[in-house]
Amino acid sequence: MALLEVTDLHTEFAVGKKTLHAVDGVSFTLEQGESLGLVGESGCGKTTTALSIIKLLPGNAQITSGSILYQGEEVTKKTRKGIRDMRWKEISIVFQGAMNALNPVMTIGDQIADAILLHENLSKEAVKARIAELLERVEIDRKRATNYPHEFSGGMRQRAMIAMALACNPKIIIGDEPTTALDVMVQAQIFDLLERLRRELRMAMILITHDLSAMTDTCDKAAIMYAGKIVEYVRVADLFTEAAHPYTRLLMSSYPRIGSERKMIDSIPGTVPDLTDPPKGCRFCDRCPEAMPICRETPPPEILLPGEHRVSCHLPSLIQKEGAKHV
Amino acid sequence: MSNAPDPIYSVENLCVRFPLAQPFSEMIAGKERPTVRAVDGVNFSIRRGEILSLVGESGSGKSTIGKALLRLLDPKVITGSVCFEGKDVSTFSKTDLTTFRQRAQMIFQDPYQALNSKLSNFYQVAEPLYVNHLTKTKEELYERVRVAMDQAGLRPPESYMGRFPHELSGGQRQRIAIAGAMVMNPDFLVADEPVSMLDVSIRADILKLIVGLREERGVSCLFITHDLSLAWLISDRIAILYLGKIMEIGKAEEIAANPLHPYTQSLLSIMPKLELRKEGKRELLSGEIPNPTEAPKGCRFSSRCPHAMKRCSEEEPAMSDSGEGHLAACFLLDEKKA
Repeated sequence: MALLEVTDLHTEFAVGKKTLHAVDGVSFTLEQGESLGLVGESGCGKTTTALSIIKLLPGNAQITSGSILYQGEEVTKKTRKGIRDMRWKEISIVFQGAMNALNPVMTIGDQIADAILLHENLSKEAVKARIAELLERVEIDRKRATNYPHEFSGGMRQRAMIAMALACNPKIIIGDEPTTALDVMVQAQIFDLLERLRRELRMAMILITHDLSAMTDTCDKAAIMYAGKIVEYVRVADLFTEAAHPYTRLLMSSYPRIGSERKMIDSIPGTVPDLTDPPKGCRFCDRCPEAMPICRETPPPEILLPGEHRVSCHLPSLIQKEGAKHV
Repeated sequence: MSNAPDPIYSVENLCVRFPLAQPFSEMIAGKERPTVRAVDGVNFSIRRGEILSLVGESGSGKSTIGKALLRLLDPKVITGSVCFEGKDVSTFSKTDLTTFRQRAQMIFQDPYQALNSKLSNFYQVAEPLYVNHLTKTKEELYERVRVAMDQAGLRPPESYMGRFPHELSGGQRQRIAIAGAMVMNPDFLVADEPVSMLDVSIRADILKLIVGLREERGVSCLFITHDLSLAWLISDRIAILYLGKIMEIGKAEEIAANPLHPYTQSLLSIMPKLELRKEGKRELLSGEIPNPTEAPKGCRFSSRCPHAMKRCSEEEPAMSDSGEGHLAACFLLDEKKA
């Protein structure tokens, strides 16, 4: 049994009188100790997928269908209390802006203690020891537990956030763009830390990023999302040679490859379609250089390629590829 | 493009010191006001039609240098000289400054804040023209705005003119900001992280625009970025900054292929390569860039340098030339040569 199994998840937002289909039929599984990267442009439903899993969706959003199984239990049917017991203890999340995610009037130590005490009945000393251990895990001096967030640098705040996410030994940690707004070197340090912690603590991780290059060092598998759907699901080891979906290939060509031949990078013309009224056929068809008439009419089939590789595309070269199976 | 081989900009020993807050008691005691050295002795030149990139982490002084070049800083905080076409920008008379302001333009990082939300796109772009009384007739104004918007890739320009910034995407806003700079037909452009707020899928368009301006109109550019791979992609030369000082400067290909300074080597090794990384190839630096008010003694990189020796924390290494204008400030290079 997989640790987390998301099947055909649909999450919708009520925007005025319209419905916005932010997540539209997303399926993936996560095994223990595995890390999955959710990649895509802004507005593709990556964060909404993550928030659906721990049910932190804003008031105007709801999961309309699909199932989220955590260790065989249905998350979507859990009560408020059930969810609260699961959050942080089983699945925790590191938010995007470490600057804004911490409470400015509480010390770092107290904020971590909050998370621990909600789930575990520990003595004051035990909590203190646990905070010191957590801070050292993320390479912050244990004495700094009495500091306030404004006394920390951006990188340290993000480390403190990670320490907080680890407070109750969760089995899954979700990183929602954990390094945006941080410096390149600090970014690399944070990814390095997450990767090391994941190995040491045998945690599973979902890393949400708009930066395809950022996840290549940290993830085992990549799910490329476009307009609320996963268009390609592939092992990172195969991504560079086997990327099949036109969107994935275009994304890859929008990064310069320093050290190789200097070639101008490509852009993807157009923008993500309006998700209150998504296109009938393939959602990428308006921006796809290889679009055919059929792409506008019917949603693409999901094709299974060898090596846990799934692509949703009409391209005949994929459909007729050796070993390809239709779903 | 002018054939003059002289550099459009030459910067010599530029220092920028921002004053810090001082307790009142110290102020009346006549103590010197503490300062933070944002830029600390920087030398470089920009040739005509050249794109020079400044690469560094936040707090390294990249944007401050950009502003110093355009005389956007209080002259009291600057020492050293910044010469535009051989003339020091601090000595500009009022008329000199008016022409200078038209010839040198800046593109800012955040297209969401750089535009006036109450002005339509047309006035956004046209503002510098009528502020400077550069056009005589309405038709001329319209035509110049139209051409600038077209150059910035807003096509057809007419369809954007009547709209407001909030109706546009991030990439389109950045194009409006670029059109606002382009409408003055500048010779020099400071682009301060112009793509860092944009989605990867549209970065390339903005970069192509900057490269295109250089190729078609010979616009020289100072490109400020934290991303070494983007700098490598579009610029002729790269300067690596650390805590207000240039650590290494040279041709873009040379910096990427043969980095001399340990800081550059480390920056280069953490660049994502979009291929599977071989184990242990990353040279991660520990810690963060130190506070510039208390910069380390000697080489300012010594506190994070993996190769730091005793000498590094005592004296400051000078720039040494390794041929073809590839300079770096590191004692390791002296040892190699010796």
